[in-house]
Amino acid sequence: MSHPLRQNFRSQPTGAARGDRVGFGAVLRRSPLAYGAFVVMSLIVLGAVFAPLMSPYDKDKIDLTSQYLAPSLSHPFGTDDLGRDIFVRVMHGGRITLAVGFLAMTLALVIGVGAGGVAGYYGGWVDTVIMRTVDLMLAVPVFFVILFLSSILSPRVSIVALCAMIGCTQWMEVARLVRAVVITTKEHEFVDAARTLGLPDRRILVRHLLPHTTAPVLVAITLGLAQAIIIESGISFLGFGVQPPTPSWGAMLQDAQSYLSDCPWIAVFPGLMIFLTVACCNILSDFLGEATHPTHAPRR
Amino acid sequence: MLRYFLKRLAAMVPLVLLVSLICFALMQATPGGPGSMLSDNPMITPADAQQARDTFGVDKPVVVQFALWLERVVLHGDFGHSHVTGEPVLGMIKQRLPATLELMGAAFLLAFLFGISGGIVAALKRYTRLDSVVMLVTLVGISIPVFWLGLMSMMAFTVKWRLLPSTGMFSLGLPFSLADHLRHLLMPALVLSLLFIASWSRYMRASLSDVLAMNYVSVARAKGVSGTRVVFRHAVRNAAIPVLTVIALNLPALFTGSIITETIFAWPGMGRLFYDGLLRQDYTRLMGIIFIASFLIAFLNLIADTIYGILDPRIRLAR
Repeated sequence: MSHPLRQNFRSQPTGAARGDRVGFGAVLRRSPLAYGAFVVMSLIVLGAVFAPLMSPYDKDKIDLTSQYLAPSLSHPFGTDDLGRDIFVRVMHGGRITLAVGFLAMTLALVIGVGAGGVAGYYGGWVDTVIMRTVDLMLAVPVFFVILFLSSILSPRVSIVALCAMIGCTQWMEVARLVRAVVITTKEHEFVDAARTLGLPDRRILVRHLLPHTTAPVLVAITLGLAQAIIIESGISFLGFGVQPPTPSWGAMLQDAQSYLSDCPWIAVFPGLMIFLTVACCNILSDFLGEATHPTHAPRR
Repeated sequence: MLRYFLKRLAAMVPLVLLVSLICFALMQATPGGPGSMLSDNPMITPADAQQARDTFGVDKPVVVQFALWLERVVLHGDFGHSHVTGEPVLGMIKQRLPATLELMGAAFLLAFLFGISGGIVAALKRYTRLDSVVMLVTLVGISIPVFWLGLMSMMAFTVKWRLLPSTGMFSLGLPFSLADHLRHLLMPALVLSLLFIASWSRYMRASLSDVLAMNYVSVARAKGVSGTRVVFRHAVRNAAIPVLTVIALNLPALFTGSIITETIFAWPGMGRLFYDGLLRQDYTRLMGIIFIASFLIAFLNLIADTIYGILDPRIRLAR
């Protein structure tokens, strides 16, 4: 199953030529959209990291005197059905959602790079077995299976279990990319040279081949982060992921469903955060794809 | 071509076999194992529970159980009976499948129409304001989670402006009318299709821009072929090849997307059936749906591969 997010979207070239070393910040500033996305993403991450320091209210404390308050100065995002401040819960929810996203993506990255690297380097039956597994995993309706597993574990789905389930089902794209790069790169002479020097396979693979996969993998993991966040939110939204009272953006949206007509702000803000985070990931991955691949810049 | 198709078809067999093995392992992993619902129910005597266990064969070794399960599924298409309602699972799925296919079909049509035309417009007006607008919309489209989009459009179109109904396939208590049905279909279909509209128009834009820069397009223009004819006769047809394969590869995602959409809009399809099964821990039903879904996805992938093989001869010769 290939997800529509995995695509190579092209827009204006950023103009970083291969060879001349330009700082990341300098390249970033040339693309206003990517620069904006970077700033917004940093703010979201910082808000999540420092949430406990910046919370004027307790995230879980039920306050029946301040239920259903519309956004105001004292409650910028309003309060929910139990009188909890939504701004504080959104920041704390970011901790859970982003942590699941980053951890799941790291796991997917490790599995994907390992499997793809080994398959590409050794070829033969190892390659066949691994790529068949990739095909198999792509044929499994992943979202159904994760939901099923979470419902078995529910109501005690740990964050680690969520990360493991998402990570184990999102590594295939990375594996394919890494394998493709390793297969083309291993024909180069410097690999022969390394082998002639007597370097062991493992060292050739890790030190000489895998660094070449950095650019495409970087693009893939930004998309993977977006994907992991969407899956976690989706599962929590359906009620089988992060359980109340723990806030996560998806779980907050689930609670909000009952109050759509009277208190729209309960549904608006958590979803807006998911949307912003995913949009930033998409913009940044487009940007990274172009910045690391100037040859892919469009013909005019 | 036939050889290539048969080869891909043969590759499907171990795939489906393995998926069913995973399904079965999942079923074994259910708390207490299959059949525990019976012994946990105080209304059922131990003797009856034992008899039910004998009928379902859950006392046999796991390997034998798997063989029996596989035999029933493959030879008789029998997924067993729901733990909760006692209905045959296949019957439940058959009853719900048309609604899902209708929703998917409508979303597919919308995505195809708007996605392709949006991509063509963006590619023709490249680097203009119109292009920027289309690209911004598609960025929103690929970033917005379907469940939030569903909630927001419900809030806007049902709660605020009272334009569209938000749940079900028909208005209750009214005689069937096509217009009423389409009104119910519109919002879920649009919500489900937005991701694909956005993604396909991005592909179409990239692909068509590449083709428009090719020499044969310049030749056609140079010899005086009219602008629209160059675009639609020469460029779009070639640009569509990679996009079509992407569309085919996206069909399974469309299927997965329908589960959330159906849940939000109470659309009585397979996704809703699955969600209901999750809530009631109806494991035989869930297994049946996962099996059928994997089968459908494998089948759709086969179609995608075949289209790819037909359109690009290098693919089928390489394997």
